[in-house]
Order: sequence, then C-alpha cells, then structure tokens
Amino acid sequence: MAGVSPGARARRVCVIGAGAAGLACAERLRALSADVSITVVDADADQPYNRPPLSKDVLSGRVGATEARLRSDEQLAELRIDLRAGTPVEQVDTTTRTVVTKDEPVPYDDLVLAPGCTPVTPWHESAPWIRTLHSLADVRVLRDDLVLPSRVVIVGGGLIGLEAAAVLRGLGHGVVVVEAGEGPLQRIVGPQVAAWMEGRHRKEGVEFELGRRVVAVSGSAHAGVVTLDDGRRVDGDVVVCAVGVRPATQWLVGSGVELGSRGEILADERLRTTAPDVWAAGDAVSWPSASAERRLRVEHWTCAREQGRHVAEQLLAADAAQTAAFDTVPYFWSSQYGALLQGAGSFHGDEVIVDGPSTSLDSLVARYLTGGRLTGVLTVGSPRTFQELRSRLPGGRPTTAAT
Amino acid sequence: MKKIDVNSPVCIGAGMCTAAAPAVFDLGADGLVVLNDPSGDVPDDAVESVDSAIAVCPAQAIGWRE
Ligand SMILES: Cc1cc2nc3c(=O)[nH]c(=O)nc-3n(C[C@H](O)[C@H](O)[C@H](O)COP(=O)(O)OP(=O)(O)OC[C@H]3O[C@@H](n4cnc5c(N)ncnc54)[C@H](O)[C@@H]3O)c2cc1C
Ligand code: SF4
Repeated sequence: MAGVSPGARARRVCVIGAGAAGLACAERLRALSADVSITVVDADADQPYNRPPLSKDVLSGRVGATEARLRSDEQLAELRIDLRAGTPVEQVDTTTRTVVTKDEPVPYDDLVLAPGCTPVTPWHESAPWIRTLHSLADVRVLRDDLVLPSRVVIVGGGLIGLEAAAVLRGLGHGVVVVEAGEGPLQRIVGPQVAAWMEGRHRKEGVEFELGRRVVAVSGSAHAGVVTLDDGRRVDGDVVVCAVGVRPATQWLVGSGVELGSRGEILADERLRTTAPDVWAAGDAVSWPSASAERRLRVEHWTCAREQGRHVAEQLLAADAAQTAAFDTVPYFWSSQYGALLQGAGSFHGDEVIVDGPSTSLDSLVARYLTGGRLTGVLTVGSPRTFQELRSRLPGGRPTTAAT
Repeated sequence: MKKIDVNSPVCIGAGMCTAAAPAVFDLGADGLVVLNDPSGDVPDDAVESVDSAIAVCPAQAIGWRE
C-alpha cells in the first residue's frame, strides 16, 4: 500500500531491528513525515545501543552501558516511535502484512527488515558456555568473568577479536589469539597489513596461534580447553569465540522474502526485497552495487546507517522522480591501543603499497591498487591522509538519495 | 539558520562528516573535525548533507544545536 490516501488512517511502518540501520531508518522516517506511525521491534531487551563501543570502551570499562546507548530516553520519546524491546519476531506474513511476535501481532503497510547478524559459534554444542562479543549482555558476562587476572583465548583474529585482544591486554589479562589465516585480519586486508597488525599486537604481549584451526572446545566456563588441528591444546580461563557472524534471518524462511545462500536478504538496487512493500537495511542485506559491479553485503556501521536512511527516503518517495539506487564505498574504522584504524573500498587489489615507518608501529598507510587504479585504502593513525585517499576511490563519496 | 554543534573530545577523526558535507566540515591538523564556519551556521542548502553527516558520524560527535 505505497500510498494511503490523505484522511485515511496513518500509514503504518514496522521496522524489525533497533540497531544501527533500524534506528537510522526510524529517525529519517520521522524527520520526513510527522504522520507515519512507526513501530520498532527488537529481540534485545536492552534499550537500543551502539555495537562498536562494546569491544572497545565498554569492554575496557572506560564508559558504562548508558554511554553506548544509541539514543537517550528523551530522544526516543521525541521520535514518537512505538519501541518494543525484548520482543523477538517469530515470523512475518507478507500476504496479510503482519509481523508475528510472542506478544500481539503487528500489522504493517510497509515493513523494514534490519535484523543484522548473529555470531557464528561452531562449538556451541560441546561448549555452550563459550563467550561471544556481540551484544551488551555479552559484554556484561565477559566483564563478570574477568574480575580477576585471567588468561583469555580468543578464537578468531578478525576486527572484533583483535579489538578485544587490545582491550584485554590493556586490562592486564593474558591473551592468545587463534586464527586460521596466516595472519590476523589477513582475509580482509591481505598479508602485508596483517603482518603489521601482528607485530603491533605482539609488541603489547598478545600471543598468536596462526594458521591453526580449532578442532574442539571442551572444559568448562572458567577452565576452557581449545584443541588445535596439530593436536596441541591451549587452555584459557575464558574462551571467546569471534569467528564471524551470519545474517540473523532464520525466521524469514518461507516468508516470501528471498534469501541468498548465506541467509542474506537479497535486495534490489533501491533496497527492496522480493516481497511487496518490504525493504531491508544493514548487515543482513546484499544489494547490487553499481560502483563495485557486483552484489555487496557490508558488515560495517556507517553502511548500515546509510542504508537505513536510504530505505526511509525510498519508502516515502511519492513519485518516480525521487527513486534512487543505493550505493556506497564500504568504510570501517576500528580502534586498537588508542590508534584509529580506517579502511575504505576493496582490499582485494592486485598490488598493495604500504608506507609508514616499520620501526614505529603507530602509523601505516596502505594503498590497494587494481590494474594500477586505487581501489582501496587502509590507514592507521593517519586521518587526513585517509580522507584524501578515500576521496579518490571509485564511487567517490557516499551517496544518499536526498542530496 | 540551523546551527551545528561539535563535541570535539569524542571525535575520532573518521572523516565521515567531511565526506558527507564537505562544505561544512573539515579535518584539522590533528585529524579531528573542524567547522569551516566556526559560528556553526549551516546554510539552508547544506542542511540535508549535514543531517546525513550526523547520522553517519561513528562517534556521534556532531549534532544540531537545540
Ligand atoms: C562488538 C562489535 C564491534 C563493532 N565495531 C565496529 C567498528 O568499530 N566499526 C564498524 O564500522 N563496525 C563495527 N561493528 C559492526 C556494526 O556494529 C554493525 O555493522 C552494525 O551494528 C550493523 O547494523 P544493523 O542495524 O544491520 O544490525 P544490528 O546493529 O546488529 O541490529 C540488528 C538488531 O535486530 C535485532 N533482531 C535480529 N533478529 C530479530 C528478530 N527476529 N526479532 C526482533 N529483533 C531482531 C537484534 O536484536 C539487533 O538489535 C561492530 C560490531 C560488533 C558486534
Ligand atoms: S564523522 Fe564524527 S568522528 Fe568522524 S571526523 Fe566527523 S565528527 Fe569526527
């Protein structure tokens, strides 16, 4: 029902997920329309919060949970959204246009899917106590675990595993990172930058088991045993699983919303799904990116925000003149040992040029070239250089429909 | 005219704002956000771009002045 006639009841938009994408969408909807009725449903019982600080300042204790809030109570009240925290969506019926939860069903005219991802935990069965680092509740558990000096085994040397390693070292805990790739972050940033990352972390006392797969996790919550593929075991007072995430879309199976082979929501260039008046935004979505010339699914915060806004604008677009394709140059940041790490574009180039003094481990500039053309950039502690290089990437600056 | 506020201590220098609204934001020598117009005034034709900059600032370091 793309156009409810004036005078009829308010158009009802339901947003599933109060994360980066869902909340950006709700805020943009409200900014563009005083009338639309907005219901935001989220499984998480906590008030909407920001994930990036979780593995940084919240884990370290530098800031409390309230400072990770995405919006204050007053700001939420101003938005006039019906926010239902602690309410997992079980199913959506795209024929009757209803969202099914454990409580009363939510009818909608337009639906926005922004469920994000859930951590992959391959050893959940043998070790249900294994820790993850995805939600505020996860961080509370971890901080309770780590009251006394501990030895922590982090399985997975990706961004979240490394951020956690940096924070935990800073708190004085022993840290071992087990990573299947030859270097930390290697699958994302390639071997040169991975080597640099490894050096940076080793300098702080982080131990690594690289090129090693975990074959089993056993023991108990406070005496975990991680067995590697060469038969050796690594013991830890706490074992954190940070091997990656997958789209949290199980509940969409059979709904008429088409999913890809990894459970991702398949959206078109405007971020519409295959079901009528159902849109999607955030980490769970793949869309055909014009600048990348392929489907992209991005697991980074700013992209989720941009997509949430884009969906709000497209959903309210009154005529064809306002329709616009979504595109962006994927961007992420991370913070480790107080240094800002930033990346943009694609890191799969055929040539990588790294400058930056290898003696000082505090800055780095890596340029990724494809056929001689700059297609990706990654820097540590060099914001201005980063900004300059990013503007030269294909696709330029992020696009939003309204500009 | 709408006005923008900057909370520099929390800025991490991500430069999302300068990419979204280059007319209004820049990065200073320390890599942190600075306003091209220190008064915080945002011309009408830049309001949309500043609004999107606010939404994508990772540190929530910028916002409309109430
Ligand atoms: C610890 C951590 C640190 C990170 N650090 C960075 C960083 O430094 N830089 C960066 O760029 N990115 C970072 N990210 C990634 C970034 O947080 C995500 O890209 C972003 O949160 C994605 O937004 P989203 O709205 O798609 O999903 P989310 O923010 O995950 O929100 C999805 C919401 O949907 C809800 N939901 C899911 N299924 C259902 C259901 N069936 N019913 C009801 N609700 C449901 C979930 O509870 C969740 O609240 C980090 C992520 C984590 C976990
Ligand atoms: S986007 Fe935010 S954090 Fe980044 S430079 Fe601008 S104000 Fe600072």
